[in-house]
Amino acid sequence: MSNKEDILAHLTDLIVDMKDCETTAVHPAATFEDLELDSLDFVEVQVSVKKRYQVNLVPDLFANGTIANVGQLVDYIAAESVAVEA
Amino acid sequence: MVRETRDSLSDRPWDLVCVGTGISALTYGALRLREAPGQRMLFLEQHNVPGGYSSEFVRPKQGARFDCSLHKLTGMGETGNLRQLFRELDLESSVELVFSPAWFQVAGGVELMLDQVPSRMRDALCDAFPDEAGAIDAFLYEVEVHGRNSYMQFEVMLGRFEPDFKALRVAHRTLKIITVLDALRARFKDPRLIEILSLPAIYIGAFPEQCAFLYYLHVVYASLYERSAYMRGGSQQLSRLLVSQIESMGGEVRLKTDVEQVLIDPDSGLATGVRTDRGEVRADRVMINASPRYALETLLPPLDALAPHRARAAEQVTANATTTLYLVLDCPPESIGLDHAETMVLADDPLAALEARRQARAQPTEAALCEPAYWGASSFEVTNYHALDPSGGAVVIVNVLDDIRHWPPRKTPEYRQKKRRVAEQLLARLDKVRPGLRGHVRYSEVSSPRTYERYTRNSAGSGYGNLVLPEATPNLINHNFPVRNLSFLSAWISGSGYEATMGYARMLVRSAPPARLARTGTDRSF
Ligand SMILES: Cc1cc2nc3c(=O)[nH]c(=O)nc-3n(C[C@H](O)[C@H](O)[C@H](O)COP(=O)(O)OP(=O)(O)OC[C@H]3O[C@@H](n4cnc5c(N)ncnc54)[C@H](O)[C@@H]3O)c2cc1C
Repeated sequence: MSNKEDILAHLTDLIVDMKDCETTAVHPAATFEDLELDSLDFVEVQVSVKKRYQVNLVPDLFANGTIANVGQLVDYIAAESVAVEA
Repeated sequence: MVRETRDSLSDRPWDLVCVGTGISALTYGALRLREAPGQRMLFLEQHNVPGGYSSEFVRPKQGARFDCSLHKLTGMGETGNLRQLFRELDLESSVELVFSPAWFQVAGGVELMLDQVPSRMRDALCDAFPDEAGAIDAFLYEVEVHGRNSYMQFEVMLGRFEPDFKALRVAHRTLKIITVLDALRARFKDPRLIEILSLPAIYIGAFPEQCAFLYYLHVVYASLYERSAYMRGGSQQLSRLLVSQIESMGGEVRLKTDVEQVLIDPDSGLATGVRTDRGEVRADRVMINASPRYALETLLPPLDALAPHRARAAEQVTANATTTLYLVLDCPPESIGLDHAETMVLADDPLAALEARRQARAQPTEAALCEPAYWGASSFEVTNYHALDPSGGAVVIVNVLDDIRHWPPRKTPEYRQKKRRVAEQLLARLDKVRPGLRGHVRYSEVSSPRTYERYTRNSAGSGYGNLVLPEATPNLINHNFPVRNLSFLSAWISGSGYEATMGYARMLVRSAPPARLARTGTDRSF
């Protein structure tokens, strides 16, 4: 599994568990608004991503819309975790 | 000291211009400049004093200083979030904190002193309501666990505190979706105890039938377990200290400068600065310390890209505004029964009050329904400022939650009459629980929601931002906001109170995105 696939799978598990939604609802184009993520969900995503990929998702990334959907989140984590490994 | 000049506002773009100098903007400025000392930051304030609600006004002839909002800074104990922030801001040595022994005194039907130490406050409640001791303990456990988790939200977001997510999830599923009133009714039998425990909702501009229980638990946790204190010199001193810090680090604060419009370049979709009544200011980044609703309706251009945000802001329910009665007595308030810094006066009949408010909310412009509901029937809060800081005079301030919609425009005879009516009603109610007090009033003055609206520009004159209703959708004003270099900060975003607004400002400073992303993140157009 590529790094991005692994990240998407991890986020899918997490979001399905948090929101009790269908797995198919979590795809790269799904926005956080579509998924109805609230502030608690963001925090849980943050903590989980930090633990698994050592990537710090500062709140401003979500607040200013830099990361607004699942695909952008996957890309960001992939880029930052590569940077961490490098 | 802050400038009041009429010169043109410099052609060189600022790194950041901020609309408004409420406590959150000032905190943001002071913290940000510490981190990035070379930054050119400009703070513009329409009023002639900085601070927004964190300010005061004086009546020299009466020897009185009236604080516009502050009576309690929560989180001021050794481990409190605000205390830590005071340390980071080097404010601890400049301010004298006053810790009152009482959380609040209860008057009207039940006379009770609730201590600030949770175990003593528990004992006082259990003595007064012995049959409810078990429920009181269970409630305090909820405050300690769920209130604490919720209180730590900014620390969690900054990765400095990891809560038990299972407990937090349960709290969000079960405690966030019920009102304070429903939750307390499910936990207690005695209507008097329910009314007493409902009182802290006033701190967030809510009645117990409106506010989400989880948010309320956090407020109780913040004031009781993390301790609250007053600052000698009041809130204006806090604002002044932050202004001088900003200025000493190269920032500028300009008063009497009204921002009329945030300028947006239609091609790039980015903010380029602001237009004020004194000319234009160019800046790389704009921050708005005002209500998003007001900003979207008045300050931002009517661009199609902002339409969904305008609609969303309009859907938010504003927390209640306040009407305030300022009193100067001819004797120390303690000598006539206002023994502690804060007294909460209970409603005579909580059920009738609830029904009166329901009717008032259904017809919010109907004075005949609103005045009895908000001024006559509901519980209200009284602060004895003399007990906190005698240098401000024999000052007592009475706050009732109110609604701007039944207040006529200012400067009309009806408006003046209404002010007289509210003063009369509140004094009569105060005199009933502290007989004789009225005879000691030397001077009185009233601020209505219209006064607050005028001085702070807050929507509906509310000092508390939006109501945190159980069914509230998260405040998504910043998500996908098309103007990427513009952000909001204030009680309308963070939740109300000094601790929340200052904590949010700190979180913004600490969570600035990596420089690489900040650069690439600004290329999105409409
Ligand atoms: C009666 C009352 C009592 C309270 N008591 C307490 C308490 O004891 N403890 C506590 O923690 N909290 C208390 N609060 C709440 C607390 O005061 C507020 O939540 C907090 O001060 C809000 O700060 P803010 O940064 O959101 O800005 P605000 O205080 O709302 O300031 C916004 C500023 O922006 C300026 N502005 C707006 N538009 C423009 C423009 N176009 N151009 C230029 N300037 C502009 C305004 O003039 C104002 O100065 C109380 C509130 C009230 C109303």
